[in-house]
Amino acid sequence: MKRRTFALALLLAGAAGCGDTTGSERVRFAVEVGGIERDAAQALTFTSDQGWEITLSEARVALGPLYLNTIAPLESDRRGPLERFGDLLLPSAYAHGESHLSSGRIVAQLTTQVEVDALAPALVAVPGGGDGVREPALTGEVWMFNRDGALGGAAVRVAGVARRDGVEVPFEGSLVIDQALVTTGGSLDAARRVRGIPAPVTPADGGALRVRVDPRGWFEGADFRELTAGTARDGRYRFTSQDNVGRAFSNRARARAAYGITFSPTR
Amino acid sequence: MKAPVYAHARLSSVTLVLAALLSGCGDTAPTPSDAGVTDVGGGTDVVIPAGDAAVLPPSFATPVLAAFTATTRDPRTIQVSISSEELGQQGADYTAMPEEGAMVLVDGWELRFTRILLTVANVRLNQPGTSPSDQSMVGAAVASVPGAFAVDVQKPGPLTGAGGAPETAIPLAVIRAPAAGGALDPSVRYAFSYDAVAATPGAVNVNLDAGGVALYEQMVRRGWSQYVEGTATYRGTTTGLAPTFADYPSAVTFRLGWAAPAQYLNCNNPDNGSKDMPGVQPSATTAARAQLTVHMDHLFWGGLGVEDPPAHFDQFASRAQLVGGASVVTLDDLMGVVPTNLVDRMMRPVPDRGGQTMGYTPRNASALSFELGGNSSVRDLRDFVTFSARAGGHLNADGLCFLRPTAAISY
Repeated sequence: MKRRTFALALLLAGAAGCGDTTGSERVRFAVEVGGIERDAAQALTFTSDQGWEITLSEARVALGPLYLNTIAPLESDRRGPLERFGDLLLPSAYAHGESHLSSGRIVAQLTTQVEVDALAPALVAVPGGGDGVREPALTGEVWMFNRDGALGGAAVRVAGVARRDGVEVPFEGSLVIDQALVTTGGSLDAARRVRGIPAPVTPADGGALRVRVDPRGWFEGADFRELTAGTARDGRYRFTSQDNVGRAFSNRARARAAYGITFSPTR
Repeated sequence: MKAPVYAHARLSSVTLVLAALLSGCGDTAPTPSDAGVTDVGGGTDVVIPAGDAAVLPPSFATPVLAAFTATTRDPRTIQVSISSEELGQQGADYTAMPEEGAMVLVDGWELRFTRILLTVANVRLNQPGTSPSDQSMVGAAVASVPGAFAVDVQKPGPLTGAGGAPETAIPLAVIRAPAAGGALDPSVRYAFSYDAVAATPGAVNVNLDAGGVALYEQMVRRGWSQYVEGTATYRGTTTGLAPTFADYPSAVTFRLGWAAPAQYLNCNNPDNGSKDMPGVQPSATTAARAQLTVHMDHLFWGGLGVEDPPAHFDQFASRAQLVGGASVVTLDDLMGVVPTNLVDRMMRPVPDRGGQTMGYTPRNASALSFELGGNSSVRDLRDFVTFSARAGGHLNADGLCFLRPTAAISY
């Protein structure tokens, strides 16, 4: 109940922030979405923390709505790339206050949903763009809803091949936002939100909000061997929420690090 | 002051147990086939070798006098205390039908703590923050309490805790005036902050007994900021469980030590009438309370990014090993275990038996898994536990502080 109330308050705060008459300048801006920046001619291959070399052939995300919030990011997400690299060398687990990210205030929004091909580096404009007020934001917040079409009723869909120690596991699977994701005491609203994505931006008229999705962390912690105990269909093993690959994926596809948000004053 | 050196010091039995624990910290984990039955030894007398000299000054052996008493009520002062609340002091019984809001380990375990050692320092006041969006922003420094405090917050104190009786709190210090002189202003809600730091020989011994002092010395050597010790006893149902549980112990001693130095900034204060309102406001007629509150349930949470997720103990019990005939688990036993794929010492998935508790529904009864809540830097179960525990520092029971880590977590 507390979670539902919070979500409603958040939406109301967003509406008030964009429609009030406090003197803030109303702005409209373009929104562009894409996958990670890379050479699209090459397959996207990376190695997970469990030593699996993974090549993705499909990685789609139903993204939106998206909000920009005045609330500061958690300390662990404020660190730069070099500091994060240090995590690989040190037994580090920078912690923060879990639910200590309070509600904040929404200053800009993208109210539509768009399908993002996380393997395609080219940015794609979202029809209608976004709007808000010209006020600094510190974090972004992505909401995930299931989508038909290429996503087949899921919020995230992925396929590829994982290889380790001579074992090759072609796989596919998806993240469906439903009650199965809800922990005792939690809510579906909380399960669908990725909050606290660092986004130190100030929306401005004529600019472009750019959102990129990085799928390389989606399988941290996953051990693909479990899938081979099942039966492949059409040459692929399908992970679900009942196996460790699906559980890892459902967590990691909703990680803040999977999203990058920037703003360009010009398109 | 340089600490005296005591080579070949013979330590107390409590220390010996910890020494045995420490000596096993770098050991290779048993192989899956023998993990469930191997006794890794312990119980033998241990002599600390030359080079591991005592690091604490003799004066540390005696706790200091309490900074104030339960009847001290000096106006325009802020009384700083610390508590692990009822959970840390008295533990948690198991019941299959817990009252709403009651702490219960849903998988049937009863919990008792025996030691909760930590060091806090840099207790300070600043002028109020200026950014409602960024709790870490505070104004100019106003006053600070010098030094660090070594304290066992498992032990009861002479004060009634912020959560009410039977919870108690331990006095630490009194802030009486701004550093610049004058008196604290009763019209100001000063930003209140404190640090968790590594154990240090320079700390003041608040309430450590001889066993606690010996343990604290080990903490100094390891650079730990916190050491938690206790027992868990299985009190849940014994019928209808997955066969796997027959291999798990029903009584486990946990000994968890780690370093997670951090600043707890501009804490919210429920005494202001709202959990989301930061600052401590002196009173013109009595003393104001600033109770550092350590939430021990964070160690057992099954999720990050949510408040008060269900708490479990099977993630510990499934990794325990025999030490001197007793089942013991340390943080090292959790290394390499993926939080979304919890496995026991025999590398089998840990089933979720939380369904025996009213109000909890396992999402997958055959495989317990934890939620990462959008965090990416949690590599394994050891990280998960300490990551969650680091967020357990609060003010006056439930006041959330902005948490700024000052170093990586280490073990």
